[in-house]
Amino acid sequence: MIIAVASGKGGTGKTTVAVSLALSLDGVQFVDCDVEEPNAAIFLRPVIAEKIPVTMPVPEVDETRCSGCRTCAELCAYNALVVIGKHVLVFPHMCHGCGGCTLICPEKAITEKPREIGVIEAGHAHSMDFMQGLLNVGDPMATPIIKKLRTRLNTSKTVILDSPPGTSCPVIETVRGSDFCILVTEPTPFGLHDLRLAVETVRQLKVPFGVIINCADIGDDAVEDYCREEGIRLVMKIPWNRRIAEGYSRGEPVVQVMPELKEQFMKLYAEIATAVTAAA
Amino acid sequence: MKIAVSACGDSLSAQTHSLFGRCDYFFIVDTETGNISAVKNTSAGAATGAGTAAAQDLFNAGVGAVISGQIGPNACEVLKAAGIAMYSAPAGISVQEAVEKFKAGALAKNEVRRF
Repeated sequence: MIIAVASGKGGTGKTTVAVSLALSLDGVQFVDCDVEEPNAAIFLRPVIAEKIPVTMPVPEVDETRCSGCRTCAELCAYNALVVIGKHVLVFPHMCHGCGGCTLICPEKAITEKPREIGVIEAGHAHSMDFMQGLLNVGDPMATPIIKKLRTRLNTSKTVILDSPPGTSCPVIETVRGSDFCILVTEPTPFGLHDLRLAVETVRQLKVPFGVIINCADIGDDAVEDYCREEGIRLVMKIPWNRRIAEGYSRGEPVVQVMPELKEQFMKLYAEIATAVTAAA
Repeated sequence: MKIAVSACGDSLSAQTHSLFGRCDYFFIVDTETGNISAVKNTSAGAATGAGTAAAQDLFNAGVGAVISGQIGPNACEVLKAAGIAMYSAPAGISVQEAVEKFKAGALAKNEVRRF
């Protein structure tokens, strides 16, 4: 079973929830898919055993063969190729690696070469298998690293995916195909605004989901009202508590600071498992 | 020589644009024949690479100099490779004024801002 932990708004507690859920269960696979700034390792302190470079194909042009016809530049949806006479300028950071230019070049002047965009680290933390993706600083292509992480999921275990925030491509790559998605939000106008966007996204992906309200004692009731009106399952509330924040600042997971919450995370897992089984 | 001016509209009284790749129109002015035409910038809404695509279009149109607000680093690389000179359009002036200033040699060369 694959459980993705996502949110619209950043900083609502995705990693807090994902880490605590993982620590409340036995022998899960934990995957930090927030490859632009993975932070679950701060709380889980994994031992990394393996580092796998991630590359994506980008065009390389043999200018002795190029006729300057510009077919490649006209095809490229991302404008990563510009043809000045017979000189082809390639902008690798804009290339999405679709391979179209290589296929369409009538002179067969284009080949693909790998460009390293980041790394996958795999190892262990507590009783779990741990994996995280790290995108090179300054590189915009997060999705291929998440794609690569997803090829290494061990679905014989419970897999917990810690998603990036927002609703863009990296989030969709993380959440799609999951059995359940937990959307973490906070009871504020910002939390509600971005939760709506996240709900629209997971509904389009047809992934069953539930909402966790973090810092539940602050803000207002608008998130709860929204969930009730939309018939969205509110699966858990995490209290606002200074001890949680203090633990967080020391890199201590919630279930370590407040062990009494462990039972709630186990209940949450049971509820998700029941919902997933019922849906299947 | 043909010069291109990035513009907010398709009349000569329109303001010059503060951006290159995502401007609304390019004015193509032929300084020899006096021919002037406004071309819609089809790259303005591109998801990525508006600057490189706009620079490609201007190269294809045979432009020798560009007058614009900020020109991004990628577009700048293309314009440099194409041997197209870059000039700064001071904020708040019209296309007409920019062309007159260019002819009078009163425009500064555009420098790429690094962030």
